[in-house]
Amino acid sequence: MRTLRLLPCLLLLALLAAPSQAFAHKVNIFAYVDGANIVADCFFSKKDKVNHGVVSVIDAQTGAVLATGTTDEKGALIIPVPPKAVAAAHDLKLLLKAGEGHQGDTVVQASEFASLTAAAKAKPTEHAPAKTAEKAAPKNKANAPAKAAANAAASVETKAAPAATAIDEAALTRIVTQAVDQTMESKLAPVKRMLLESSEKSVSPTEVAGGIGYIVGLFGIMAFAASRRKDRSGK
Amino acid sequence: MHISEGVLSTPILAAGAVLTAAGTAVGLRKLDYDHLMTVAILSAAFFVASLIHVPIGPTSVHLIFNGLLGAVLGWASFPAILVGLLLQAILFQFGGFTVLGVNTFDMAAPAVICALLFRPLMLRGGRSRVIGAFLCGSVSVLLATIFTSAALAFTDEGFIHAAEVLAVAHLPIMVAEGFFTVLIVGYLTKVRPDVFTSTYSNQFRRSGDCAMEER
Repeated sequence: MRTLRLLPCLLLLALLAAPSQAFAHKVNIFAYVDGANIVADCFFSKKDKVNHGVVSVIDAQTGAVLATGTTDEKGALIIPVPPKAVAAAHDLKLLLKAGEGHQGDTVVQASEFASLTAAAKAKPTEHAPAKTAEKAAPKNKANAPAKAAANAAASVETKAAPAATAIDEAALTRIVTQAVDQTMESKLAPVKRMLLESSEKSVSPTEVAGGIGYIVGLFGIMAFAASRRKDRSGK
Repeated sequence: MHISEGVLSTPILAAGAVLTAAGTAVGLRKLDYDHLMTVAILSAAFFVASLIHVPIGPTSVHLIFNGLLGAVLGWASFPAILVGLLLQAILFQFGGFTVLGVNTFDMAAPAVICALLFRPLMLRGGRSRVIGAFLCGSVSVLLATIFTSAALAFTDEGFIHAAEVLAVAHLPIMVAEGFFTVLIVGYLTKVRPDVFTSTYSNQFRRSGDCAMEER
Protein backbone atom coordinates (compact mmCIF):
# COMPACT_ATOMS: atom_id res chain seq x y z
CA MET A 1 0.00 0.00 0.00
CA ARG A 2 2.80 2.33 0.89
CA THR A 3 4.61 1.65 -2.35
CA LEU A 4 1.35 2.25 -4.14
CA ARG A 5 1.11 5.62 -2.53
CA LEU A 6 4.67 6.42 -3.46
CA LEU A 7 4.07 5.69 -7.11
CA PRO A 8 2.23 8.87 -8.02
CA CYS A 9 4.84 10.82 -6.10
CA LEU A 10 7.62 9.26 -8.11
CA LEU A 11 5.65 9.83 -11.29
CA LEU A 12 5.30 13.46 -10.45
CA LEU A 13 8.99 13.78 -9.71
CA ALA A 14 9.73 12.16 -13.05
CA LEU A 15 7.47 14.67 -14.71
CA LEU A 16 9.20 17.50 -12.94
CA ALA A 17 12.57 16.24 -14.05
CA ALA A 18 11.43 15.62 -17.63
CA PRO A 19 13.40 17.87 -19.92
CA SER A 20 10.58 18.42 -22.39
CA GLN A 21 8.81 21.38 -20.93
CA ALA A 22 6.28 22.55 -23.41
CA PHE A 23 4.15 25.49 -22.46
CA ALA A 24 0.84 25.21 -24.14
CA HIS A 25 -0.58 28.29 -22.55
CA LYS A 26 1.08 30.99 -24.52
CA VAL A 27 1.38 30.99 -28.25
CA ASN A 28 4.03 33.05 -29.97
CA ILE A 29 4.44 34.31 -33.49
CA PHE A 30 7.63 35.78 -34.86
CA ALA A 31 7.64 37.23 -38.34
CA TYR A 32 9.92 39.10 -40.69
CA VAL A 33 10.05 40.02 -44.35
CA ASP A 34 12.37 37.99 -46.52
CA GLY A 35 12.48 39.23 -50.09
CA ALA A 36 8.88 39.39 -51.29
CA ASN A 37 7.62 37.03 -48.60
CA ILE A 38 6.60 37.24 -44.99
CA VAL A 39 8.22 34.48 -43.02
CA ALA A 40 6.44 33.57 -39.80
CA ASP A 41 7.46 31.17 -37.11
CA CYS A 42 4.67 30.03 -34.78
CA PHE A 43 5.41 28.17 -31.60
CA PHE A 44 4.29 27.40 -28.08
CA SER A 45 7.88 26.83 -27.05
CA LYS A 46 11.16 25.99 -28.73
CA LYS A 47 10.16 22.38 -29.15
CA ASP A 48 6.45 22.78 -29.48
CA LYS A 49 5.59 24.33 -32.80
CA VAL A 50 2.10 25.25 -33.91
CA ASN A 51 0.90 22.64 -36.39
CA HIS A 52 -1.66 23.94 -38.82
CA GLY A 53 -2.26 27.19 -36.99
CA VAL A 54 -4.16 29.76 -39.00
CA VAL A 55 -2.37 33.04 -39.59
CA SER A 56 -4.29 36.02 -40.91
CA VAL A 57 -2.43 38.93 -42.42
CA ILE A 58 -4.35 42.02 -41.43
CA ASP A 59 -3.90 45.62 -42.47
CA ALA A 60 -3.13 47.22 -39.12
CA GLN A 61 -4.82 50.49 -40.12
CA THR A 62 -7.99 49.34 -41.82
CA GLY A 63 -8.36 45.96 -40.13
CA ALA A 64 -9.01 44.25 -43.44
CA VAL A 65 -7.82 40.67 -43.77
CA LEU A 66 -5.50 40.65 -46.75
CA ALA A 67 -4.36 37.05 -46.71
CA THR A 68 -4.51 33.90 -44.62
CA GLY A 69 -2.24 30.93 -44.40
CA THR A 70 -1.74 27.77 -42.42
CA THR A 71 1.49 26.78 -40.75
CA ASP A 72 3.23 23.51 -41.56
CA GLU A 73 4.30 20.87 -39.04
CA LYS A 74 7.34 22.94 -38.10
CA GLY A 75 5.19 25.95 -37.30
CA ALA A 76 6.62 27.82 -40.28
CA LEU A 77 4.65 29.83 -42.77
CA ILE A 78 5.89 31.65 -45.86
CA ILE A 79 3.32 33.92 -47.38
CA PRO A 80 3.88 36.57 -50.09
CA VAL A 81 3.49 40.14 -48.90
CA PRO A 82 -0.04 40.97 -50.12
CA PRO A 83 0.09 43.38 -53.10
CA LYS A 84 -2.50 45.58 -51.41
CA ALA A 85 -0.25 46.00 -48.42
CA VAL A 86 2.68 46.79 -50.67
CA ALA A 87 0.65 49.44 -52.44
CA ALA A 88 -0.81 50.96 -49.28
CA ALA A 89 2.44 50.74 -47.31
CA HIS A 90 0.49 50.06 -44.12
CA ASP A 91 1.82 48.05 -41.21
CA LEU A 92 0.65 44.46 -41.18
CA LYS A 93 -0.67 42.64 -38.16
CA LEU A 94 -0.19 38.90 -38.19
CA LEU A 95 -2.80 37.17 -36.07
CA LEU A 96 -2.18 33.55 -35.19
CA LYS A 97 -5.03 31.35 -34.04
CA ALA A 98 -3.72 28.09 -32.67
CA GLY A 99 -7.06 26.73 -31.47
CA GLU A 100 -8.70 26.26 -28.07
CA GLY A 101 -8.49 29.92 -27.25
CA HIS A 102 -4.81 30.29 -28.07
CA GLN A 103 -4.04 33.42 -29.97
CA GLY A 104 -1.00 35.51 -30.60
CA ASP A 105 -0.06 38.36 -32.85
CA THR A 106 2.86 40.32 -34.13
CA VAL A 107 3.36 43.34 -36.37
CA VAL A 108 5.33 43.52 -39.57
CA GLN A 109 6.07 47.17 -40.10
CA ALA A 110 5.64 48.79 -43.47
CA SER A 111 9.29 49.86 -43.35
CA GLU A 112 10.27 46.19 -43.49
CA PHE A 113 8.83 45.83 -46.95
CA ALA A 114 9.52 49.42 -48.00
CA SER A 115 11.88 48.18 -50.71
CA LEU A 116 8.97 46.28 -52.26
CA THR A 117 6.80 49.39 -52.14
CA ALA A 118 9.59 51.40 -53.70
CA ALA A 119 10.08 48.76 -56.38
CA ALA A 120 6.36 48.69 -57.13
CA LYS A 121 6.28 52.47 -57.43
CA ALA A 122 9.48 52.56 -59.44
CA LYS A 123 8.26 50.05 -62.01
CA PRO A 124 6.22 52.45 -64.16
CA THR A 125 8.85 55.17 -63.93
CA GLU A 126 11.64 52.70 -64.46
CA HIS A 127 10.24 51.77 -67.82
CA ALA A 128 10.17 55.40 -68.90
CA PRO A 129 13.91 56.06 -68.94
CA ALA A 130 14.49 52.67 -70.49
CA LYS A 131 12.11 53.54 -73.32
CA THR A 132 13.66 56.94 -73.84
CA ALA A 133 17.02 55.30 -73.93
CA GLU A 134 15.76 52.83 -76.52
CA LYS A 135 14.28 55.67 -78.52
CA ALA A 136 17.44 57.62 -78.20
CA ALA A 137 19.56 54.76 -79.39
CA PRO A 138 18.08 54.43 -82.91
CA LYS A 139 18.22 58.22 -83.28
CA ASN A 140 21.91 58.04 -82.61
CA LYS A 141 22.21 55.30 -85.14
CA ALA A 142 20.16 57.30 -87.66
CA ASN A 143 22.18 60.40 -87.07
CA ALA A 144 25.47 58.61 -87.38
CA PRO A 145 25.46 57.91 -91.12
CA ALA A 146 24.33 61.49 -91.83
CA LYS A 147 27.40 62.85 -90.16
CA ALA A 148 30.93 62.67 -91.49
CA ALA A 149 32.50 59.23 -91.45
CA ALA A 150 35.51 60.57 -89.68
CA ASN A 151 33.39 62.06 -86.91
CA ALA A 152 31.13 59.05 -86.75
CA ALA A 153 33.23 56.95 -84.47
CA ALA A 154 33.83 59.83 -82.07
CA SER A 155 30.21 61.06 -82.06
CA VAL A 156 28.83 57.61 -81.48
CA GLU A 157 31.23 57.18 -78.68
CA THR A 158 30.39 60.45 -77.03
CA LYS A 159 26.64 60.22 -77.61
CA ALA A 160 26.35 56.55 -76.83
CA ALA A 161 28.43 56.85 -73.74
CA PRO A 162 25.91 58.91 -71.65
CA ALA A 163 23.08 56.66 -72.86
CA ALA A 164 25.01 53.60 -71.85
CA THR A 165 25.74 55.00 -68.40
CA ALA A 166 22.07 55.96 -67.99
CA ILE A 167 21.01 52.39 -68.63
CA ASP A 168 23.81 51.18 -66.46
CA GLU A 169 22.76 53.38 -63.56
CA ALA A 170 19.26 51.94 -63.47
CA ALA A 171 20.52 48.44 -64.02
CA LEU A 172 23.34 49.01 -61.60
CA THR A 173 21.09 50.13 -58.77
CA ARG A 174 18.96 47.08 -59.39
CA ILE A 175 21.96 44.78 -59.45
CA VAL A 176 23.52 46.40 -56.42
CA THR A 177 20.34 46.34 -54.35
CA GLN A 178 19.82 42.73 -55.31
CA ALA A 179 23.38 41.81 -54.42
CA VAL A 180 23.22 43.77 -51.18
CA ASP A 181 19.89 42.21 -50.32
CA GLN A 182 21.32 38.77 -50.90
CA THR A 183 24.46 39.30 -48.84
CA MET A 184 22.49 41.05 -46.13
CA GLU A 185 20.06 38.18 -46.00
CA SER A 186 22.79 35.61 -45.65
CA LYS A 187 24.63 37.78 -43.13
CA LEU A 188 21.51 38.58 -41.18
CA ALA A 189 20.28 34.99 -41.10
CA PRO A 190 22.11 34.21 -37.83
CA VAL A 191 20.91 37.48 -36.34
CA LYS A 192 17.36 36.64 -37.29
CA ARG A 193 17.75 33.22 -35.77
CA MET A 194 19.15 34.78 -32.61
CA LEU A 195 16.21 37.17 -32.41
CA LEU A 196 13.86 34.29 -32.92
CA GLU A 197 15.49 32.31 -30.18
CA SER A 198 15.49 35.22 -27.79
CA SER A 199 11.80 35.77 -28.46
CA GLU A 200 11.21 32.15 -27.50
CA LYS A 201 11.40 33.06 -23.89
CA SER A 202 10.53 30.20 -21.62
CA VAL A 203 9.72 30.41 -17.96
CA SER A 204 12.79 30.88 -15.83
CA PRO A 205 13.23 29.57 -12.27
CA THR A 206 13.60 33.16 -11.06
CA GLU A 207 10.09 33.97 -12.17
CA VAL A 208 8.72 30.83 -10.57
CA ALA A 209 10.46 31.60 -7.30
CA GLY A 210 9.32 35.20 -7.55
CA GLY A 211 5.73 34.14 -8.08
CA ILE A 212 5.75 31.83 -5.08
CA GLY A 213 7.29 34.64 -3.07
CA TYR A 214 4.51 36.99 -4.13
CA ILE A 215 1.86 34.46 -3.13
CA VAL A 216 3.36 33.84 0.29
CA GLY A 217 3.81 37.57 0.81
CA LEU A 218 0.27 38.37 -0.26
CA PHE A 219 -1.28 35.80 2.04
CA GLY A 220 1.16 36.85 4.74
CA ILE A 221 -0.22 40.37 4.55
CA MET A 222 -3.75 38.98 4.72
CA ALA A 223 -2.85 36.89 7.75
CA PHE A 224 -1.25 39.90 9.38
CA ALA A 225 -4.33 42.03 8.76
CA ALA A 226 -6.56 39.27 10.10
CA SER A 227 -4.46 38.85 13.23
CA ARG A 228 -4.52 42.60 13.88
CA ARG A 229 -8.27 42.64 13.51
CA LYS A 230 -8.49 39.74 15.95
CA ASP A 231 -6.22 41.54 18.43
CA ARG A 232 -8.30 44.67 18.28
CA SER A 233 -11.55 42.82 18.79
CA GLY A 234 -9.90 40.94 21.68
CA LYS A 235 -9.00 44.14 23.51
CA MET B 1 -6.34 26.05 -20.82
CA HIS B 2 -5.45 29.69 -20.49
CA ILE B 3 -7.56 31.57 -22.96
CA SER B 4 -5.46 34.23 -24.65
CA GLU B 5 -6.08 37.93 -24.71
CA GLY B 6 -8.29 39.15 -27.53
CA VAL B 7 -10.09 35.88 -28.23
CA LEU B 8 -13.29 36.49 -26.33
CA SER B 9 -15.91 39.17 -26.80
CA THR B 10 -16.49 41.87 -24.21
CA PRO B 11 -19.80 40.50 -22.79
CA ILE B 12 -18.14 37.15 -22.03
CA LEU B 13 -15.13 38.85 -20.49
CA ALA B 14 -17.43 40.99 -18.35
CA ALA B 15 -19.54 38.00 -17.31
CA GLY B 16 -16.40 36.10 -16.32
CA ALA B 17 -15.10 39.05 -14.31
CA VAL B 18 -18.40 39.47 -12.47
CA LEU B 19 -18.72 35.76 -11.67
CA THR B 20 -15.13 35.61 -10.48
CA ALA B 21 -15.59 38.68 -8.32
CA ALA B 22 -18.67 37.10 -6.76
CA GLY B 23 -16.90 33.78 -6.22
CA THR B 24 -13.89 35.48 -4.70
CA ALA B 25 -16.12 37.49 -2.37
CA VAL B 26 -17.84 34.32 -1.18
CA GLY B 27 -14.48 32.57 -0.87
CA LEU B 28 -12.99 35.34 1.24
CA ARG B 29 -16.07 35.50 3.44
CA LYS B 30 -16.03 31.75 4.06
CA LEU B 31 -12.28 31.69 4.53
CA ASP B 32 -11.16 30.60 7.95
CA TYR B 33 -8.27 32.93 8.65
CA ASP B 34 -6.48 30.30 10.71
CA HIS B 35 -6.01 28.36 7.53
CA LEU B 36 -4.79 31.22 5.44
CA MET B 37 -1.44 29.54 4.98
CA THR B 38 -3.11 26.43 3.57
CA VAL B 39 -4.72 28.66 1.00
CA ALA B 40 -1.36 30.29 0.26
CA ILE B 41 0.40 26.96 -0.16
CA LEU B 42 -2.28 25.61 -2.47
CA SER B 43 -2.34 28.85 -4.41
CA ALA B 44 1.40 28.46 -4.91
CA ALA B 45 0.87 24.82 -5.92
CA PHE B 46 -1.69 25.93 -8.50
CA PHE B 47 0.70 28.62 -9.72
CA VAL B 48 3.48 26.08 -10.27
CA ALA B 49 1.28 23.21 -11.49
CA SER B 50 0.77 24.79 -14.89
CA LEU B 51 4.50 24.50 -15.51
CA ILE B 52 4.41 20.74 -15.11
CA HIS B 53 3.56 19.13 -18.38
CA VAL B 54 2.34 15.64 -18.86
CA PRO B 55 3.81 14.43 -22.13
CA ILE B 56 1.08 11.88 -22.79
CA GLY B 57 -1.49 12.05 -25.51
CA PRO B 58 -1.71 14.06 -28.69
CA THR B 59 -1.08 17.44 -27.18
CA SER B 60 1.07 18.41 -24.28
CA VAL B 61 -1.10 19.59 -21.42
CA HIS B 62 -0.21 20.77 -17.97
CA LEU B 63 -1.44 19.95 -14.50
CA ILE B 64 -4.16 22.18 -13.10
CA PHE B 65 -4.78 21.04 -9.51
CA ASN B 66 -8.12 22.80 -9.34
CA GLY B 67 -9.72 19.63 -7.97
CA LEU B 68 -7.16 19.45 -5.22
CA LEU B 69 -7.81 23.07 -4.34
CA GLY B 70 -11.53 22.41 -4.30
CA ALA B 71 -11.12 19.35 -2.09
CA VAL B 72 -9.08 21.20 0.52
CA LEU B 73 -10.25 24.79 0.21
CA GLY B 74 -13.81 24.67 -1.06
CA TRP B 75 -14.99 28.20 -1.83
CA ALA B 76 -11.56 29.59 -0.98
CA SER B 77 -10.40 28.05 -4.29
CA PHE B 78 -11.64 31.23 -5.95
CA PRO B 79 -9.19 33.65 -4.28
CA ALA B 80 -6.42 31.04 -4.42
CA ILE B 81 -6.83 30.43 -8.16
CA LEU B 82 -7.31 34.13 -8.86
CA VAL B 83 -3.98 34.94 -7.22
CA GLY B 84 -2.25 32.06 -9.01
CA LEU B 85 -3.58 33.10 -12.41
CA LEU B 86 -2.85 36.77 -11.79
CA LEU B 87 0.79 35.99 -11.13
CA GLN B 88 0.95 33.67 -14.12
CA ALA B 89 -0.37 36.50 -16.26
CA ILE B 90 2.14 38.96 -14.85
CA LEU B 91 5.21 36.76 -14.80
CA PHE B 92 4.69 34.27 -17.61
CA GLN B 93 2.23 36.16 -19.82
CA PHE B 94 -0.13 33.19 -19.71
CA GLY B 95 -3.65 34.30 -20.39
CA GLY B 96 -3.93 38.00 -19.71
CA PHE B 97 -5.53 40.63 -17.54
CA THR B 98 -8.74 41.04 -19.47
CA VAL B 99 -9.33 37.28 -19.56
CA LEU B 100 -8.37 36.82 -15.93
CA GLY B 101 -12.00 36.73 -14.82
CA VAL B 102 -13.04 34.11 -17.36
CA ASN B 103 -9.95 31.98 -16.79
CA THR B 104 -10.39 32.08 -13.01
CA PHE B 105 -14.05 31.16 -13.22
CA ASP B 106 -13.32 28.31 -15.66
CA MET B 107 -10.91 26.76 -13.15
CA ALA B 108 -12.42 27.73 -9.79
CA ALA B 109 -16.10 27.05 -10.44
CA PRO B 110 -15.44 23.34 -11.20
CA ALA B 111 -13.34 23.18 -8.03
CA VAL B 112 -16.22 24.50 -5.92
CA ILE B 113 -18.82 22.36 -7.68
CA CYS B 114 -16.74 19.21 -7.15
CA ALA B 115 -16.10 20.14 -3.54
CA LEU B 116 -19.84 20.43 -2.95
CA LEU B 117 -20.52 17.18 -4.78
CA PHE B 118 -17.79 14.96 -3.42
CA ARG B 119 -17.02 16.29 0.03
CA PRO B 120 -19.66 14.21 1.77
CA LEU B 121 -17.99 11.15 0.21
CA MET B 122 -14.54 12.29 1.25
CA LEU B 123 -15.59 12.96 4.80
CA ARG B 124 -16.87 9.42 5.21
CA GLY B 125 -13.35 8.06 5.28
CA GLY B 126 -11.96 4.74 4.11
CA ARG B 127 -12.72 3.70 0.57
CA SER B 128 -15.31 6.42 0.02
CA ARG B 129 -12.68 9.02 0.80
CA VAL B 130 -10.41 7.60 -1.88
CA ILE B 131 -13.23 7.49 -4.41
CA GLY B 132 -14.45 10.95 -3.46
CA ALA B 133 -10.99 12.46 -3.72
CA PHE B 134 -10.33 10.79 -7.06
CA LEU B 135 -13.62 12.03 -8.48
CA CYS B 136 -13.01 15.50 -7.09
CA GLY B 137 -9.62 15.66 -8.80
CA SER B 138 -10.67 14.27 -12.15
CA VAL B 139 -14.17 15.69 -12.54
CA SER B 140 -12.83 19.18 -11.78
CA VAL B 141 -10.56 18.94 -14.80
CA LEU B 142 -13.39 17.61 -16.96
CA LEU B 143 -15.66 20.45 -15.86
CA ALA B 144 -12.85 22.94 -16.47
CA THR B 145 -12.59 21.79 -20.09
CA ILE B 146 -16.36 22.15 -20.43
CA PHE B 147 -16.39 25.62 -18.88
CA THR B 148 -13.50 26.74 -21.07
CA SER B 149 -15.28 25.40 -24.14
CA ALA B 150 -18.42 27.23 -23.08
CA ALA B 151 -16.44 30.47 -22.96
CA LEU B 152 -15.16 29.69 -26.45
CA ALA B 153 -18.64 28.81 -27.71
CA PHE B 154 -19.15 32.22 -29.27
CA THR B 155 -15.82 32.30 -31.09
CA ASP B 156 -15.01 30.63 -34.43
CA GLU B 157 -14.01 27.57 -32.48
CA GLY B 158 -17.51 26.56 -31.39
CA PHE B 159 -18.43 24.74 -28.19
CA ILE B 160 -18.52 21.16 -29.48
CA HIS B 161 -15.20 21.30 -31.27
CA ALA B 162 -13.38 22.99 -28.39
CA ALA B 163 -14.93 20.65 -25.83
CA GLU B 164 -13.91 17.58 -27.82
CA VAL B 165 -10.35 18.68 -28.32
CA LEU B 166 -9.87 19.90 -24.75
CA ALA B 167 -11.52 16.93 -23.07
CA VAL B 168 -9.53 14.39 -25.09
CA ALA B 169 -6.28 16.24 -24.53
CA HIS B 170 -6.92 16.42 -20.81
CA LEU B 171 -7.81 12.74 -20.29
CA PRO B 172 -4.35 11.88 -18.92
CA ILE B 173 -4.51 14.93 -16.66
CA MET B 174 -7.87 13.85 -15.30
CA VAL B 175 -6.43 10.50 -14.26
CA ALA B 176 -3.20 12.01 -12.93
CA GLU B 177 -5.00 14.64 -10.87
CA GLY B 178 -7.46 12.09 -9.56
CA PHE B 179 -4.61 10.03 -8.16
CA PHE B 180 -2.78 13.07 -6.91
CA THR B 181 -5.83 14.38 -5.09
CA VAL B 182 -6.32 10.97 -3.44
CA LEU B 183 -2.70 11.07 -2.32
CA ILE B 184 -2.80 14.57 -0.89
CA VAL B 185 -6.21 14.21 0.74
CA GLY B 186 -5.11 10.92 2.28
CA TYR B 187 -1.92 12.48 3.54
CA LEU B 188 -3.64 15.55 4.93
CA THR B 189 -6.32 13.59 6.77
CA LYS B 190 -3.53 11.68 8.49
CA VAL B 191 -1.17 14.53 9.25
CA ARG B 192 -3.45 17.55 9.60
CA PRO B 193 -7.00 16.31 10.02
CA ASP B 194 -7.97 19.71 11.38
CA VAL B 195 -7.42 21.22 7.92
CA PHE B 196 -10.36 19.22 6.73
CA THR B 197 -12.62 19.15 9.70
CA SER B 198 -12.39 22.86 10.40
CA THR B 199 -12.41 24.17 6.85
CA TYR B 200 -15.02 21.63 5.89
CA SER B 201 -17.32 22.46 8.70
CA ASN B 202 -16.81 26.17 8.19
CA GLN B 203 -17.46 25.83 4.51
CA PHE B 204 -20.81 24.29 4.94
CA ARG B 205 -22.06 26.13 7.90
CA ARG B 206 -24.39 28.90 6.95
CA SER B 207 -22.37 31.75 5.47
CA GLY B 208 -21.37 34.46 7.84
CA ASP B 209 -20.51 32.14 10.71
CA CYS B 210 -16.79 32.43 10.06
CA ALA B 211 -16.98 36.13 9.68
CA MET B 212 -18.77 36.30 13.02
CA GLU B 213 -16.12 34.20 14.68
CA GLU B 214 -13.26 36.41 13.75
CA ARG B 215 -15.01 39.59 14.69
